[in-house]
Order: sequence, then structure tokens, then C-alpha cells
Amino acid sequence: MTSRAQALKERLARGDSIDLRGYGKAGGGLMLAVQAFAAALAKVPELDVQDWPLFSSARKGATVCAYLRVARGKVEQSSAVSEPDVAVLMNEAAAEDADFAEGTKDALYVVNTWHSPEMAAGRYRLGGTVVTIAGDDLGRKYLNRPLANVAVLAALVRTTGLVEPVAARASLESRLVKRRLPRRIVDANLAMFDTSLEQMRVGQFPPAGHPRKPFTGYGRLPAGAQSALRTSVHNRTSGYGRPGVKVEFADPLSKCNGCSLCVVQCPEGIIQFDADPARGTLVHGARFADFCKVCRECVTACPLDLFKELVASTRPEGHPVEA
Amino acid sequence: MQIVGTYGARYENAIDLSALRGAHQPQYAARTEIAVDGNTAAAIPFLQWWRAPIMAGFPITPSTKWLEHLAAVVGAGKCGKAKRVKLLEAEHAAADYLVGMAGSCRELIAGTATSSVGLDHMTETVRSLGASGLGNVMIVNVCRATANYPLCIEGDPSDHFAHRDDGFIQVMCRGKQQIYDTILQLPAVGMNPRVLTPTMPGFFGIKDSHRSGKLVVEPDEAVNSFLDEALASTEPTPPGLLDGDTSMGSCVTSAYFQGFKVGQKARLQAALDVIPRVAGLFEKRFGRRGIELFEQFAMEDAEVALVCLGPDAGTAVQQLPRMRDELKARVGLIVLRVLTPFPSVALARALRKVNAVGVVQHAYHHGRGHIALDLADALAESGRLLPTESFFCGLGGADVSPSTWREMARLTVSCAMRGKPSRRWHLLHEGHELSEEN
Repeated sequence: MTSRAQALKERLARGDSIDLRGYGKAGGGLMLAVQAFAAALAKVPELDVQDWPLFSSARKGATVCAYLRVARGKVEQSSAVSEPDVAVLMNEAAAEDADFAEGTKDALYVVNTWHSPEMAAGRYRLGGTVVTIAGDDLGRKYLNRPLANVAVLAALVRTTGLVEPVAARASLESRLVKRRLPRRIVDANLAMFDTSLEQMRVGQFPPAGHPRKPFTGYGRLPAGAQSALRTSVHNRTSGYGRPGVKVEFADPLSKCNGCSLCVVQCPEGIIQFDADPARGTLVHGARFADFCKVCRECVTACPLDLFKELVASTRPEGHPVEA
Repeated sequence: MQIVGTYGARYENAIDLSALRGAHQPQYAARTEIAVDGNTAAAIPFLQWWRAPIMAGFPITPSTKWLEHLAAVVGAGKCGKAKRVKLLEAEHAAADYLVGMAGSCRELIAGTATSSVGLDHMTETVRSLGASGLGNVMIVNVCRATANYPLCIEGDPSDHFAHRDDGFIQVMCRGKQQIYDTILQLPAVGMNPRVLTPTMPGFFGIKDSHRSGKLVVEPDEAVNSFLDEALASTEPTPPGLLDGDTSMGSCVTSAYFQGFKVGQKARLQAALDVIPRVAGLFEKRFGRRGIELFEQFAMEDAEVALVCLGPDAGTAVQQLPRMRDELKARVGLIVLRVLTPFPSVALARALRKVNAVGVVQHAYHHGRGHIALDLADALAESGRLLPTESFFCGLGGADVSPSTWREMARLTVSCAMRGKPSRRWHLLHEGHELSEEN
């Protein structure tokens, strides 16, 4: 048992709760991973566990949050997890919207990334136990999709030591069967779980402060402000893009011919342009971070291929998929 | 002058209830502990009751999973031919469906679940239902903000309070076990011949509807025999099949309208007597607390009290020792369960020794809040004026943090010392005051 797992067990023994918070993108499997973990914990007679999501009316790709609180005896506290003992980052794109480690100092961090624990600790200023797992790659290998939830579940099970892997595996299977997935997909997920148990990398780092940002109020919110909030990155109903991909506009040679096809096609009206006397509608970018849901209309429409769909985060050169 | 019999015309044996009972396929043969969310906990009783052959509804976040769970189980053939799930074209149609089903056979439970504007869309029918005497109707309300400008799908009980005068017995729940247990008991209250009033159990969307955890499910046999016993022990016995005075839409003159309202008010108030009896039977049967008019924590020696409802109360329970320690004051907590009829007498009695009360409310209100008004009325009725701080927090389902609870306790203690509230109302988040001076 790792020292982190031992510390978590001691925390439970003292009567304290273990609080988990996860950030991810809607459709990325964060809820399934946390629910499967909670269901496995619920099988332990002496433990009480609660798990719940925080999401809004957002569609696939929006930043979402999941909470889990487990304790010996009844879990009474129902407020959001603000100082997690375990912080999960299912999709690194979610870290652009929120500090997934906020409120932590010396915690267990489980990050779906190609990066090493050292790189992840540096990138996100993490102190404590940092666990990384290349979940997207494992998802591509087993499920033909960059779905990392099963890998992250395996990392949680292995590093917290709160539940036996066999119990978590059974819980996962039960969840997948309940969703009426074909048997071959269920088996692929279980194979991914088994492999993932041995794929994580762990690093220990000195404590690093992630103090909670003090609440400073909402500012003035006149009734008309909701239109602006609809496309604001601060409002979690935005961030609509599919997980793992993003659209970029690049025109370093100023090749845009002003055809305005992208402006006409974009369903969200986020293409930014200026009137150009010579060329017409000269596009210089788009508010991708606000409201792009990666529908690819602009990518398809542009005759000069100035819009491109890219993988959302860059994988370090030469890093192997499997250890 | 008695113009009709107690219940109107009766048509015994028009429906073969024994066949329906015999066709029931039990879902649980023994007491079982499972891990589910609140919506599922609310759906399971409808699968267990032989008296609930048809569940009707229309999906709306965050209550959708109630309907989905029923449809999945019934669709998988786990209930045989004894149950059907009806997906209707809108909530108004679902409410109308309840009228038809409940009115045609008062022995059966006609239920649906909805939320927010879904409940609003039922309004015309729900208001008639409230007065109809159809105590076998149950609308599970998964609370969600209903003042939808802007839209917010998280849970606050503004929809529940918007419909508190519709005539239903409203009982608020927190946690999966309370949701399940409350729904098991409520038909025994609503169908009691002294009550004959439809019921509306409520729980917060997302915070409870989507929160998963352990739930103890009782065996179907015990669930059904509990309800049978609770109904059989009433006097007079409940009305039977095809009851003559359940027609909807009849027009009467004002003289008769008022007469009907006399009966409606009396039946609703009778629920305050019937609930403890049903709860006592439930506790005897299952060993867990039945429906309480309200929960009490550390009220034995309390000198100030917070009055609240819903899932955020759990955080308050957890924070009570720290509140007492930091404030050097004996803070108690009351968590409301029965909202209509409001348990005025019992609540005033529970608060008789405190010097101030802080009322914690999650639903938008133009003034000091729905609960603050009901509580003030209850205290006035008891002949007591108690300094009361009015708090709003968690609007739209926002988080209510431990720091917010501690601040509300601090302000209530100050209120007790000052003898009057510091403001007309407070609106708090993360322990900070949001409202402008009022």
C-alpha cells in the first residue's frame, strides 16, 4: 500500500470524510468513472458514499464537474467539494476553464495525460502524489475512441486503495451492462481496465498551495446580461466542443479571400471579421473558446483550408502509449 | 342537507383488483441494499406497488430518470404484463391522464414525476386535482427553479412553492432513503378517507435527484402489506371503485363552491393527524423513522434555531458542533418535511424556548420568503413574537457552503441578542452578503 493510500485510510479511521472532485468534458466519461468508483465503495459495509455531478444545460464537450464524498458512518455534508483530498482531471482541456486543483495543498491528483507526473506537476503546480495515465491512448487502443474514463477509474482504484480492483471491475461491468452496451464493448472496457491498472505513473512532490479563490460577488447582472453570459467561458453552459478536439484558424500569409462562407455557415456566429474594401469580409479569427462546438462547418466551407480541426492537447514527442 | 352519499355512487367489482394483485411481479424478495440516485429511489416504489399498474409522464430535467428507470424495467419485461409506462405528449396530458386513471379506480395509485415548468404546465389540472378528493394521485416533484429568466436546470424549490396552494400535501425529502420511505408512506396518507387529498413529495434536482448512494429497499410483500394495513385500519374505509363524485369540470354556483372548500380545507388539515399514525406504523414495520412533520437536531437545549429544508440541511447538521463552539451559543436546527398543511402548532411548540430563529430559504420570493411568512403566522397564532432573520441562499441550486451556514448562525445569534433582525432579508453565498441594503 502506498503512503498516500495509507494516509487516506487513516483519514477515514479518524472519522473524517475523503472528498474527491473531478473535472472533465461532458461526454468524456467523468460521470461514469466517478459513479463506478462510488458504486464499488458503496459495497463496503462500513462506508457511506455520495457522488453527484455539477453540470448545466450544456451539450457534449462542456466543462463538467463530479463530486464524491466517502466516510465511515453517515455522510451528512452535502455542500460541494471545495478542498478535495483527491483531484481528478479527466480532460486537460477542462483545466483551461477551471483550476482542477483549487483548494488543495498536499493531495492525490489523477490526471489523464501523456505527460509524466513531473511534467503534470510542473504544468499544474501540483504538490503531493501525482498520478498520470495516458487514458486517451488506451481508449483509442481498446475502444477506438479517446475515452479515458476507464483508465482514470483504474488509476483511482489503484492509488487510493479504498476498494479492491476486482470489486471496482465488477462495479464497472455492472454500470456498462446497465447502459445496454453490446457485450464486446463491455469486454473491451474491462480489458482496458485490467491493462490500465498497470499503466499509471506515480510521482511524489513537495506540497504546493492551490488556495481557494475568495468569492468576490457576481458584479452587476442586469437582465440583459444573460445574453453575454451565454457565450462566456465563465458560465459553464459554454465550452460546447467535443472532447479531445478543437478548431483553429491560421492565416499568417493573409490568404483569406473574403468569401464570407465561414461567417454564413457558422451556427454560433463566432467568426470574427473586418470589412475590407478590396477583399470583402476579411476573417481574422473566431471565438472558439467561447462557444465552438466543433461542428466543422467552417472547416468544410473555407476554400483555402484556413480552419483546421486539431487534437486538443499536444502529446510529447516519442512518449510510448504503453510502458 | 345531504345531497349525495359520502362518496357518491359505487360500482363494486367493476375492476378485478385481485387479478391485478395476483399479476404483480415482485422486484425485491428481501430487504436489499443498493446504490442508486434520488430519481431511481423515487421510481422504485411504483415498481413495487401492485396498486400502480400504469405510470404516466413526460420527461423534463432533472426528473427524467424517474421515467427512464420505470420504462427500462417495464420494457425489459421485469414486471410481466402487470405494468405499463405511458409517455404522453406533454405534462398537461400527463396530469389529465392521472385524473382519468385515479378517478376510475381509487384503489390504484396514479403517479408521475415532473419538475419546474413541467409542473407549471400541469397547473390547470393540478389545481383541480388538489380539490378533487383524489388522494390516490401522486406527483413527484423534482424541484428546479421555475423563474426561468435565465434558464437554470439545477435544483431550487421555487416550483414547489409556486404550487403550494394547489391543494396537495407537500412533503420535502432529503437523501435517497427519505425519498423512498416518504413515497412508500404518502398513499396511506392521501388515500385515508379523512384526508382524500393528492400528494406531492419533493426533492431537490441535481443535489438529490442526481446524487447516488446507498438505499435500503424493502421487499415488495412488506411494501404492499404495509399500505394494505394502513388503509384497512382507517375508519370509515376508503371509497372504492369508480367513484361518483370525481367528475372534473362541473360548474356550480358560489354557494356550493364555498361548501366544497370547507371540506377541502378540513381534509388537508386532517393530514396532520394522519401522518404521525402512518409514520408510526411505518417505523414499527421497517424500523426507520416515518414521515416527521419536521426533523430536529440539537433542539433540546437550543437558544436559537435555524429552520430550513432540503439536502443542504445535511451540511448544517455537520456544522452544528462547530457553530456552537465558535459562537458560544446553543444553536439548534429544524428541517421542514411537511410544507402543506403547514405544521404551525407543532413548529411553534418546538420553537417555544428559543430566542431567535433564522429561516433559510432557497426559493425566490418578493419579500421575506415563503417559509418566513408561514413561520411568522405560526408564531403569531401561538401568541408569540420571535425575532426572525430571513435568509436566502442556494437560489437556482447554488452550493450552500459550510461558511454560509456558519454566517447564518452568527447572524441569528446576533438577532437574538439585539431582539430584532439586522435586515429585512439576507442573500448569502460563500458566507458573503449578496443583497443590497434592504
